[in-house]
Amino acid sequence: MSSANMLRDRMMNRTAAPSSPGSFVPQELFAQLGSFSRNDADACDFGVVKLDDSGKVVMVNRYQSDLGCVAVSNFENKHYFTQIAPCTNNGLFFGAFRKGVAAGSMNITFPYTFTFKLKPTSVKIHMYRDPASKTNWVFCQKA
Amino acid sequence: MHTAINHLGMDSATRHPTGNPWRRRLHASLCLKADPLFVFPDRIIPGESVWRGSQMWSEWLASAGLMPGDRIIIGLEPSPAFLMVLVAALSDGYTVAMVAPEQRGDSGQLLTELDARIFIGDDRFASVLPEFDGVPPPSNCELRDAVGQPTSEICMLMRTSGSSGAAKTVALSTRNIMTVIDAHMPSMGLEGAIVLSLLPWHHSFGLIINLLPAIFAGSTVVREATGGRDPKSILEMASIYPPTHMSMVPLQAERLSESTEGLSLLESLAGGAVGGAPVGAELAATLGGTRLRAGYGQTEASPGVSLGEPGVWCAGYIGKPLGCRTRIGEGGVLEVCGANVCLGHWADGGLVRLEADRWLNTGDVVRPATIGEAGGLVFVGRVDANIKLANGRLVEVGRIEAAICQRMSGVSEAWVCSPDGHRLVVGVLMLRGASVPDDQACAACLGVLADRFGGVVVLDHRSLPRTGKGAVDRNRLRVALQCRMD
Repeated sequence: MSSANMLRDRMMNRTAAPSSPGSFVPQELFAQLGSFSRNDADACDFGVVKLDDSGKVVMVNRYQSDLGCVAVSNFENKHYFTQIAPCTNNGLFFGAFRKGVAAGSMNITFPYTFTFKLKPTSVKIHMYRDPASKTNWVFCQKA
Repeated sequence: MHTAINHLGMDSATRHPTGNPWRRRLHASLCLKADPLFVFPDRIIPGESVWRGSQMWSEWLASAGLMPGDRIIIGLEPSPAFLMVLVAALSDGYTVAMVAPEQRGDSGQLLTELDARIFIGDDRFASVLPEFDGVPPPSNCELRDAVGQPTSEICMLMRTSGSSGAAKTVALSTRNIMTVIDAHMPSMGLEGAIVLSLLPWHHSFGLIINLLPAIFAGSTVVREATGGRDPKSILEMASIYPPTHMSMVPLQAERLSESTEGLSLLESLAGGAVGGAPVGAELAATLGGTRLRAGYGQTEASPGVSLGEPGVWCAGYIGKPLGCRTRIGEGGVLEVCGANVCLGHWADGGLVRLEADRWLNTGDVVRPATIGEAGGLVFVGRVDANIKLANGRLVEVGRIEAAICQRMSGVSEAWVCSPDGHRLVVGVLMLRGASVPDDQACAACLGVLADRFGGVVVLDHRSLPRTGKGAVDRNRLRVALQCRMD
């Protein structure tokens, strides 16, 4: 899936099937999100962050914690977009999250650049709202 | 992902506590900021990551042995690496030389010509290639030994496009550039804007009028993949990221206006400037239905001289002087004086400094505008487009062309050429539905030169020879008119 198509999906807030082409998230994971445990998340080789509808971190996996050099205990219960990753507090990232939560539907992928350990690092982002459990997820993988 | 790690690293602002205005402003605009946000075809990067990357470059350049005032050539395509290197170089007081993609193959020659110490580019000719994320490579490179002294007084060396005279390398100071940014920003309304970036970043218009103000305003900057060359690509990007602002040269506006979608895009914009070449009557009429402004300047004026009000247009309109003084000198030539007028130019490996309070002769013939109450100036022609006939007589073509457009109904634009040094041939563009102009009336517009009238040729808008910015290429037009008359 080209960046342009990923971005188009974002702008159109298009909700594709969970197996979004180009996503690094295995398809079977989406069916498990209602009961996805910390152990399940820690077993993933990409970042997993579960957010409540306001954007507060409910759960983060070890991969993501290590990537950002932020201890799990410092990560959880903080607002993801303003306290953990303020570089996401813009129309594209947080705006898409708010829009998705308001619409009750979110399944979008796009490239982004985080700063990990003082170094800009290209990542792929997949933001998803599980319609069954009404939970929100940010998946992140280094590009 | 940066809050927890921010305090761990030494920040450039603390490493260099004293006052380079670039450092202060760029730090305030980028450090810990999600906006500005830069969207490239394959990557998206927020201000914070650009800032962190610039800090890596800052350390890399310093550890390579560079000192403030050393000259760095940036030969990068618009990219995260371009932004990081630019921010580092400006913040640390290096002299930044921007080069166009077509110049990059001559890196050795460029290093010598500009007496630069390093060429940072994205091809094999460069001294150093950034890594994929835009950051510097792990190892340092060998610097070229400069022959001359550091040039801390020069912020940027920019090559003029050559569209208004012979191409040359202009030396701009921080004051030159900041003056223009500060004069233009209040009119631009860039806060919260989505800027679709079409113009080249190595040119003064694209960098100083378009990119840097967007950074300082915290805009989202969406870089179009073809650099504004392909209207389809522009429209595709605009459908993904509906822009609020776009600045462009007339040719880009003209190509967009040829389709319904392109015209809708132009009409939907909240702001932006069209400049770099004169705007013809037909395009001016189109732009009158938009919020786009006329922008005028030259690289020698950093490059801002005048700016129009939104949607105020007529053929050749260049807006009202902004942040500088202007006067109409001998032969109707526009002259500019102020802090925007360049420090000097680069020649024979060094700075040729020019008098600070001089009047810059633009070589552009202008007249006062008469568009309602708008005021401002209208471009009439280039003084170097004037023709010397075989008998030595000077023909001021701009005045004659303006007279033809004013007096002959249906003529939207006119060009006077002399294919043989004796006759004067007039090429005209007609408004839609207008009848073919009368030879006698056209000859009368030549005044005392009426006996030189060699005919009038109605030109097709689409087949006019044009420069990359959309200005009519007079040399090629002269040849074409000669063929038509023969």
